[in-house]
Amino acid sequence: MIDLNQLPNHKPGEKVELFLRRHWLVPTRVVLALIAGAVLPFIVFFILQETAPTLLHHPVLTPLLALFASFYFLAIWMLVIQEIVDFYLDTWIVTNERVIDVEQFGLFRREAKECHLENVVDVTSEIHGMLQMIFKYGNVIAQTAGTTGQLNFKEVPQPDEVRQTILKLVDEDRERHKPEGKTPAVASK
Amino acid sequence: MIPSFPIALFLIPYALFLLVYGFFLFFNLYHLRTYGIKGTVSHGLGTLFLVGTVVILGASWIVLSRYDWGTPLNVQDVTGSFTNASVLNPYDRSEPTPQP
Repeated sequence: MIDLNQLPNHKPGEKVELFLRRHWLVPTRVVLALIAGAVLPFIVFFILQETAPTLLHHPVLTPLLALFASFYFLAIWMLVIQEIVDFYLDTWIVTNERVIDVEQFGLFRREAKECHLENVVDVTSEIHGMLQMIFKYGNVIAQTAGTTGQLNFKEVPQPDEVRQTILKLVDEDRERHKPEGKTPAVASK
Repeated sequence: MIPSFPIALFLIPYALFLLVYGFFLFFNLYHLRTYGIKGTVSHGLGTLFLVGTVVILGASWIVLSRYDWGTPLNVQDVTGSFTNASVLNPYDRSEPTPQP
């Protein structure tokens, strides 16, 4: 398990400034849709009870319907588990030294990127659509100078504040690590 | 003679699905344990997933054990002569009336 107080490759004096996951609305939409799907068999059951009650006492059809219902509920629960685990394991951590982007894709694909703050050259935030505007969540993209490329914080809450915090941390980091007698490069917009 | 097979045969694909389900559950719990953030949430989620699974499987066991899985399913029923009479009246096994 990952200990936030002792991240992998922990540096002395390093502390976590931002710990982000997707906005709660993102998995909630999917989980609610799945719960609605779980209610469906009960509706079908009550309709059958009213319209064709003999079907529910058929020696062949009834056990097969029950078997299908069990399969259906397990499949729904499996999708709920997958959605929650995906949400829970996608994390973005910003410390006063580096940015860490960890994403889980399904069962067998996991990507972890890490970039020192001094390599962050540009940070942008974007909000797309009505829901993101109302609930104030969106993407934050940190462009890096190294081979890491982009770090994409997907659907995180308060993207503008996150962008500003990262830029502030980048400035502070450059100030802290600047060679004696040199003026630091300005990263903030 | 109409060929038939017991409906228990349908339990085989169901068992295969349970294997796939177990595989998914195991790897999700493994990911939670390996890559989750240290704290009660990871353990809580793992417990929730297991409890949900036990509840669904327990309810399925209670419901499915009530039925007689040795009941034969006639192939003729499956291949198209599944008349309304035989669906709505399971004990009516008479041959469908030939159309003029």
